[in-house]
Amino acid sequence: MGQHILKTDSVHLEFDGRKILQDIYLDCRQGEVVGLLGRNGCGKSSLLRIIFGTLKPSYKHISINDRHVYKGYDGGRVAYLPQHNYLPQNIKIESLAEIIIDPQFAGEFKSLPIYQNHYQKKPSQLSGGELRQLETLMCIYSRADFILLDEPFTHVSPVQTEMFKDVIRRCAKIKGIIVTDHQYYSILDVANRIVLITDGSTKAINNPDDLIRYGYINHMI
Amino acid sequence: MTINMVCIYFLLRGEVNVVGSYVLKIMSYGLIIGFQYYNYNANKTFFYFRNAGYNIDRLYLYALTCDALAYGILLSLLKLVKYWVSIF
Repeated sequence: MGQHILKTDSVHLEFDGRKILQDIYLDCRQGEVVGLLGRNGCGKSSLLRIIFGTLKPSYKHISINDRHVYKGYDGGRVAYLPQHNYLPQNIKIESLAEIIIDPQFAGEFKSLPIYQNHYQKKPSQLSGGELRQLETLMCIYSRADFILLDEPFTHVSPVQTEMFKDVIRRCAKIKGIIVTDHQYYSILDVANRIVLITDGSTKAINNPDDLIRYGYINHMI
Repeated sequence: MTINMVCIYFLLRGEVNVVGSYVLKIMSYGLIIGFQYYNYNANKTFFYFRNAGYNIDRLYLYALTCDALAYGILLSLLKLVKYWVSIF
């Protein structure tokens, strides 16, 4: 089976007459991690939701292997980690994992401490941090070919951030992953390619100095 | 299930007929779907099912069809029992 490629092109999104996204091109192949950066309110999350299919812009062209995709989640091709909690609260974690986890990664997922310690519980019995960790991992290990991660490193301890980055790198061997977060140094570390959204359009970032040139950061940490 | 019981209760009391009870059920389906779609907390969990590859509209269709069929079977059995009781 060849590598799948997800392409997003010509997205037009407006809120109350204000143009949010207007000149967008973003692609992602299986086997790579694409980092998406941008200031608050520039439309990063909106772009991910448009690709996933839960936000309808005035125009978009999204394709997988050059075949038009109306909603990314149809057929389970694309999975999305939203910024909010998304697991049903009163179903056992073991049952939730059974449906969503990619069989190729089932052993690896089930060996994680967060699953080992809580698989008999329901999400409502977990703390906020534990729940977020579980939701992030369930999304990364899901069956989809392409994974969209919206702020996976926010409100997460440094040790967990490192663990997420390792998991992302391992899963990216067979999946395409688009990840956005305000912890840009984590994105620079984990991503193979960086794309910046500025003034409603996407810019390829070839070296970290471009982030300064486009005014995303003042200096590198 | 609660809705099924309410519909059967009114049906057995003779306050609605079979068609009326189905109309009641369809109205209740509308309420359930409306609540799920527009309640911010309820529709957050849709992301889990979408990530698992399920289409939400299709899930509703299957669940409500199963419910309507189960209601029909339950209704038929109750009518049958009521008829037998009236004979014996």
